Amino acid sequence: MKISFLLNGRQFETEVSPTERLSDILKSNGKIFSVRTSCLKGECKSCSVIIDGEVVPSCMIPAFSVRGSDITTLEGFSKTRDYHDIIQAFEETGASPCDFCRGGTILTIQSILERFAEPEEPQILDAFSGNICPCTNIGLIMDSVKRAALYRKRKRLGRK
Amino acid sequence: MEGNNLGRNIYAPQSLNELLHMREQHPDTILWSGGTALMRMQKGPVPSFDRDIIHLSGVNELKKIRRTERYLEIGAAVPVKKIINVGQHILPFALAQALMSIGSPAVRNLATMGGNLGIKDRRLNSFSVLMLMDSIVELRRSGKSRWIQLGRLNSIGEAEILTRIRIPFRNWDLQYFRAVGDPLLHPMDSLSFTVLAETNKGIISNLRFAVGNTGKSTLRSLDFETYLSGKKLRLSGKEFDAAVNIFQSFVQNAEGDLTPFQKDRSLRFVHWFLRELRDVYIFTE
Ligand SMILES: Cc1cc2nc3c(=O)[nH]c(=O)nc-3n(C[C@H](O)[C@H](O)[C@H](O)COP(=O)(O)OP(=O)(O)OC[C@H]3O[C@@H](n4cnc5c(N)ncnc54)[C@H](O)[C@@H]3O)c2cc1C
Ligand code: FES
Ligand code: FES
Repeated sequence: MKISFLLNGRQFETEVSPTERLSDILKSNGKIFSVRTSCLKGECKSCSVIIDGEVVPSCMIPAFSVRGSDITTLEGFSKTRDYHDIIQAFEETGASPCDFCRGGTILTIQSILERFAEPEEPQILDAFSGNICPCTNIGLIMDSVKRAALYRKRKRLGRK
Repeated sequence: MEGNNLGRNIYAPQSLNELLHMREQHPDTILWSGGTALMRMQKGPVPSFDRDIIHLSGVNELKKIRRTERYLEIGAAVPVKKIINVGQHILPFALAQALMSIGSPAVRNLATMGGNLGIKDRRLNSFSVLMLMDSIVELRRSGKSRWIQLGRLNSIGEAEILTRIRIPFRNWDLQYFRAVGDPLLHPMDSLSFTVLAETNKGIISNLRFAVGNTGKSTLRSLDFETYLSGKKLRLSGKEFDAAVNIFQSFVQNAEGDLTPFQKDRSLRFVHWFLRELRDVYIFTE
């Protein structure tokens, strides 16, 4: 079947089989490198994308359900101001997710910041539950989320 | 019809009437709500389904939340995230806990309550809580609708669709929910524990409890419920011990229904819950 959707702001059309995973379509047909797959069970978050404003695991999403959707991957998100808050927070805390985890980690942080102006530890841990990264300290991620939240708050208040 | 793969059709109805009609024409189809359980149960990297699929996301009638003075009504295809967002003053705490323990926020953006209740041979997170709350569900097929107590929902008929879940409001001032494990993929190593009760001047009344997420069954002990109903808070040490004993013999008699892991966890949960009633609960009315 042919499907089309907005991919990082551009119309994208491709031929797929209807129950193919969106993660596979993005990787092979869309040449999106930030989307990785590992568990294929909705747990590890390495395949996270934003669909119509919500962060979702793209391995859980079949092709037939994304027709006409607005899909953003890390490639698209990295052109936004919100992305830079998160990167600045990473730089300051020293958190440095590897290329495999980067997309999922950044988009998961974005989903937390969209829901909570001042995220607390249980909310951050909940969002990262199931994450299988053995190398980045969750404490650093937690600090990064809180810092990024602070930058956004300052921006809202018009301070630097 | 949306598309076709290896002879499988994908139907995408845009209204409830259209959905009921399609389901009648094709009773042997897979209903696709959030798809999180269906995808999680896939064994290989390339998903394959042995039947045609009806995708529910275009049916707006299934995506509504309604609230009256007497009940909260949730459409079967409302995402769990949206249900949680209804807020703590409306959504009973134990139900919120049960929904919050489904996957991660990203999964809960997709998962629905209809999908949680709709899996054959599995009773998942929301079942016990909703059952204890006397919730009823609407099952529809073309030209027919029936409301039944959730506790009596053994399976959804071939041509039927679960459309709405109605949760009566009651003053459950004691609410506990805890769960361990993955009830979908590893039901033998999974368990939930739910308690609801009302209190009046510090006296427990109408206590209900269930051990769930164990696979096909949800277990209740009338002896345990009756023993605790009528007790004054906080519990005395003697009452604590007696309640533990009643629960222990209930668990021993549940031979065949609970694995050793589930027995152990349910005992731990019951200790935790009774300790709350003995040590923590302070009556403030
Ligand atoms: C990482 C992860 C962790 C999870 N953890 C948990 C957990 O801890 N506890 C838990 O309970 N679940 C868990 N789940 C499973 C699943 O996400 C939930 O059970 C969810 O509520 C299923 O909803 P869905 O809409 O995605 O269902 P779907 O996958 O769309 O459907 C599930 C089943 O219900 C049927 N169905 C769907 N809608 C209807 C309807 N309206 N009428 C009749 N039948 C219908 C479908 O045909 C299918 O058989 C987890 C899933 C993931 C990916
Ligand atoms: S590959 Fe999608 S969540 Fe792990
Ligand atoms: S940061 Fe990628 S595995 Fe740890």
